[in-house]
Amino acid sequence: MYIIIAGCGTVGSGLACRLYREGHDVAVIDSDEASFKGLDDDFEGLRVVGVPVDQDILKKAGIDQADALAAVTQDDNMNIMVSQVAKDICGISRVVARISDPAREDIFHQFGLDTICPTNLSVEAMAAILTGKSAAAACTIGSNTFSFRIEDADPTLAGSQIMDIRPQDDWFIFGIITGGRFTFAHPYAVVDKDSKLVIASIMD
Amino acid sequence: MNVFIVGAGKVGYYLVKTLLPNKHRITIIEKSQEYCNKLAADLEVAVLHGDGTDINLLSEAGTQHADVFIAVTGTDQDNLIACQLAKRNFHVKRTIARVNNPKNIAVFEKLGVDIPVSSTSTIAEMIEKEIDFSAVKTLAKLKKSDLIISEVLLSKKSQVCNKRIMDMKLPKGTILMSVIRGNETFVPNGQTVLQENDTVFIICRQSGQKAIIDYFS
Repeated sequence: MYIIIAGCGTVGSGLACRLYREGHDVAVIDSDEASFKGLDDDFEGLRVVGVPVDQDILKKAGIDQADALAAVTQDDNMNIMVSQVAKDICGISRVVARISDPAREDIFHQFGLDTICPTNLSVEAMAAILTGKSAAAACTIGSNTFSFRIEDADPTLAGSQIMDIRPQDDWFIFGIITGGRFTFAHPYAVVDKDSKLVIASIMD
Repeated sequence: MNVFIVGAGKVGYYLVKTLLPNKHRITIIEKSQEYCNKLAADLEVAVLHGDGTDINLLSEAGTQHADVFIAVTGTDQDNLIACQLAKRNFHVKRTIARVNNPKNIAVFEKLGVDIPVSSTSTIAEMIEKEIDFSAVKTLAKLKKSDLIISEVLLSKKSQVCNKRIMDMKLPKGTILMSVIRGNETFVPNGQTVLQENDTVFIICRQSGQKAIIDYFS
């Protein structure tokens, strides 16, 4: 694939090097030439100096052949604008923007942009560690990131079926581990007093 | 009218000053504390210190009640995002954005800004008009189309002199709107014969202006 990375900070350079090592064609854009120092020595992708919202700069970075673009500059608004230009004007279908402000991320996500909010991800991950509800796994489906955690079942739930447990907006009982054996949490599954619940929740 | 302005730099400041006598209700949002203080000390307007792309601030400021939302900061992405939020989230009917890099005019239009205004290209066009020695002047560009209105002063050498308009081979899509001859102004028709020193007002496509210049001069 041909991938353009707008912004060569820690995330941008890390992403560029990783994708390059995986064998993709990568072009990196940053307005500050010095930021390219963050790239690995063996990175041989294209380096373009300039403001990424400028269409001439995007053309220089090969937007006409590009399959995907990530906007990861320090500036949320820049990332939103770059991804809209790439998507709505240059016709790139796979575009992702980093937006640090959760409120802004929420809105532009609703408007149809694929977004990642590092603030939300960090808050969720840290809260999970601090409260001992460590995520066992996280995965991204579409443009949402989900976490799965394992919790001891509340003793008051012993004997109840999954369908009796009130559903919540932000989490969902995904499975039950009883005696070390996993079953999906279908409506008639019964929670024992020593069961553990596998809970899925939306991180971002 | 209820007018919201983001950015109180040079453009924002003079915009407020120009709009104030017209009895508009103006709210201005500015990131820099220094500019806020200056504006609040000089003019009687509501000044909010903060980021014009911050949804909570826009909401507290009452953006949903704005009739017009204008973003005139020096940063294109901030102007675009502020207008998009005003439009999509607060349903403001009319959004106007300053475009600092003229290359972004088309981008702003496509991404939902009602009226992008580029001072750079406006100044360049005005200067170009003034240094244009040829007899053809561009008077106006019609909004959201490529139609332009030109003014042409006919010289003796012009091939259209003493010709009926119906006999001219005008480039396609060209309309002669009016003619000034001496003290008289009239709307020409096919029978009209153009003369030396006539000033002709023509509406045509921007792409066709070169052909007009060649034809009339």
